[in-house]
Amino acid sequence: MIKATIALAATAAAVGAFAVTPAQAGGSAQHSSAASEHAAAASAHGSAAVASGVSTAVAVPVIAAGSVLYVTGSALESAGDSVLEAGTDLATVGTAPLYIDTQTIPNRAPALD
Amino acid sequence: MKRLIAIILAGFVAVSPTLATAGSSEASEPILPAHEVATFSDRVQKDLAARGAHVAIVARMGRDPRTLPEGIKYTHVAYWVYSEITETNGSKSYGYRAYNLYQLADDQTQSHLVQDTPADFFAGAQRLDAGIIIPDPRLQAKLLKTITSPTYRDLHNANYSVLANPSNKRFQNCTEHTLDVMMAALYNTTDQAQIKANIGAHFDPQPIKIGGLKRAFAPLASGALTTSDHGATVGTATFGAIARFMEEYDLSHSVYSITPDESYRF
Repeated sequence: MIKATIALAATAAAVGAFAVTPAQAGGSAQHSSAASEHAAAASAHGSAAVASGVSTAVAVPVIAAGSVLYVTGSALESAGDSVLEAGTDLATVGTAPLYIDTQTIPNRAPALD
Repeated sequence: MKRLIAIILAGFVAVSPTLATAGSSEASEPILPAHEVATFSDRVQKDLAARGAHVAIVARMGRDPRTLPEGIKYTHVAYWVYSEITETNGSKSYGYRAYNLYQLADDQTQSHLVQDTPADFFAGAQRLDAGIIIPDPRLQAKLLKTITSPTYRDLHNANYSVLANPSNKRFQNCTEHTLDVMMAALYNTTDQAQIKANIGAHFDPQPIKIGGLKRAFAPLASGALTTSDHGATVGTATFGAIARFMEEYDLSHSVYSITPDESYRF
């Protein structure tokens, strides 16, 4: 019995150690590999930002349809620390309570006018 | 006892590799060489602009595709929106901005909405190969209206699952949020129940082959690997599934992939 308990404990420990990898990998596996790749990137490219970050103040969608589009200026190769947290609005999460709805009748198949 | 131990070990071994799919992780530094990421980002931007796309769905390859489950090629999806960008110094430029749903760095079971640059978007790529859907121009106009409205934020569910079931509201990942926004735009609705009902009726998720043992043990490895929102089978929204849906209902203008060297049919 003692042997069995020890074996089970050892197994649990091994499993626990094993579980750490996918736990940080998973949806996260990308994260895990990214982290190791980050280390490699850092050694290979220093701080390795894609470009020296230029903070973006405002990005407003261009509505006009049918116009000729150009990519210009700092929109090219801007990256690194320029990540926008999308303001407090977009960062606000929805935490509505869950319910499974089986009553709503679907509309017809989607079609554009 | 030996059998029990063997089962436990087999379960954990079975869980690890192939379930490590999507991962909408926000990259703080590029995985690939920085200049390659920047050049590729510009290539994609210019390609989209040349095609007159105001809104596109762009996907990146966040993992080696050989390690992904069958039927999945891309791991992160976002809307790219052509924008006028005003820098803090007042200078203006024109280009695309990516509207992302990213997992939180310190809690992979939660997500937030983040707007970033094309190069930031590809900083999380393991390979420079982007999947692109340019919606029909009429749908682009509808999408712009939705993306710039409170509905975009309201459709976000912070409870993240890599394999979220798109037909219900329990969990969400980046691809499902993309799909939800599209359905809201298509049907001009903010009613989430109606959106989910329509997804259930008209959208075919990508089936994921996953054994019972792996399914049972996955959430122990990471909460983001839960499949508790599915029934007997598992199916999730992917770039490919959205592409097929849009082609089936004539909602797309073009669907293709682009690499540093070529564009090819997805």
